Amino acid sequence: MFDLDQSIAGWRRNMQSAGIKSPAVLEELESHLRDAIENQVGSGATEQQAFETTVRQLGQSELLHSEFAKVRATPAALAKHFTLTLAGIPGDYMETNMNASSSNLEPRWATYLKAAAFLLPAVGLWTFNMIFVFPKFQELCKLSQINLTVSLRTFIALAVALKDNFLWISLGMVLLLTLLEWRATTYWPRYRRAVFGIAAFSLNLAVLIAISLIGVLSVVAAFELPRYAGAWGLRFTDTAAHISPFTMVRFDGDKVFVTYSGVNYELASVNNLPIQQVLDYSRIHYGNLWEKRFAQDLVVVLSDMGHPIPTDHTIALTLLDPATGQLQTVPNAQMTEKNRNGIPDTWD
Amino acid sequence: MYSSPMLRKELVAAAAEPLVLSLLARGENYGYAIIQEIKARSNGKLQWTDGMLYPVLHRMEHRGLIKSRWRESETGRKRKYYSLKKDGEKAMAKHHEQWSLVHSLLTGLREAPHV
Repeated sequence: MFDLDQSIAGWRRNMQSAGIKSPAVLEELESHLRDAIENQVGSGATEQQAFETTVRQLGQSELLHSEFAKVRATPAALAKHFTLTLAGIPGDYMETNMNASSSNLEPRWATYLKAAAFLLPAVGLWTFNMIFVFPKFQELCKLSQINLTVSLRTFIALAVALKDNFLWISLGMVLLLTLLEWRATTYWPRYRRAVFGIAAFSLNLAVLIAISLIGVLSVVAAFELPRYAGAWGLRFTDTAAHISPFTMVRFDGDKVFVTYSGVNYELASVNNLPIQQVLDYSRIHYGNLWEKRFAQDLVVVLSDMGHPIPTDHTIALTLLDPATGQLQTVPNAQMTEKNRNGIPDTWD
Repeated sequence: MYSSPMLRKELVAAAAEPLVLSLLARGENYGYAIIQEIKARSNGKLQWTDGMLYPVLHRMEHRGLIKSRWRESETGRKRKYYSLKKDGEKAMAKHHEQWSLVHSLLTGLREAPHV
């Protein structure tokens, strides 16, 4: 005697052994089975006939299982789909229907993820450079006093501006993207990938060029550096600093009169620094001793001011002849110990 | 005589989603009834392997096009009813647009005089 409930229980076990284990799915299929059987019995079939037809029409358990497996995303299937989508290959896994997805646009998550992945090294390197390398680089440029072209100065100013306003720039970008994702839903998704691609490429290129520039400039600046070696951070007790181009120095208000090569002049500038600037600096930094520092320790004063004397002990002077009123420039005035020791301590 | 051909396998697969969406747009329904209705409306020319509808339904639910709930029927048995979600309506509209396009292309080509 055919027992429907027992047959259905057997069918369920069959389904389970084929891999369809979810109770909810089995429940739903059983409900279908019972509906179909009821219907056929209503039109004259026996329960057994109806059961057999219905089970056959429901399809092979293995086939059903493989179809259901596509619904439940297993980690492996997800990983495959993820990789294919990132590679720009239309996902095969999610769609069994020809028309399951009517769009061949790259999904938003893939674009953002790719952009992040491509930008991460550049942003990381740039941040590292800005924190650890750039300040040293700036110091090096200043120390070596290399002449930078306008474009290079602009580049450095731009880098500094970028660093100082990093937070605002990122905030602005996030805001812009949010706005685009939110409002421009018609056009933005179509261009998103292109925009991100171009932006990531340009940013990478810019970072590459910038870091290379910093590297090259550092090397250039480093080569300039030895010229000033030893002249940096000199103190008054260093005998190496006890040199001067003058044999006499006299102060009169804001005027400085010197004797250079045996002739008396009014000093106008040293190493292109207006004399007033050097005087102001000395007065502020050396207190009562400022005249002595200026006259006897000009090397240290200039070093402190960030304009060290090169190792060949030359200094550029601009001298005013009080008799004729003419300006005279001496680009490489020699500084000697003999001169310096001859300067009398008239200010003590 | 050329008698009531069954639809090609690919076409049946492609039509599954738009048909289910359109059917559910008329009200919530359960698997067996959906199959019966499609069978009846197509005069039996569009036939699914019954079980295959369920993975399709589950996938559509997974994608947020439809939602489901268990409900007791008049006979006291529980059935899983599906109904359309907002995204499903949008997807349905898109399907209709595209199928209409193909349809009008086909008819247009057949009716257009040869040049």
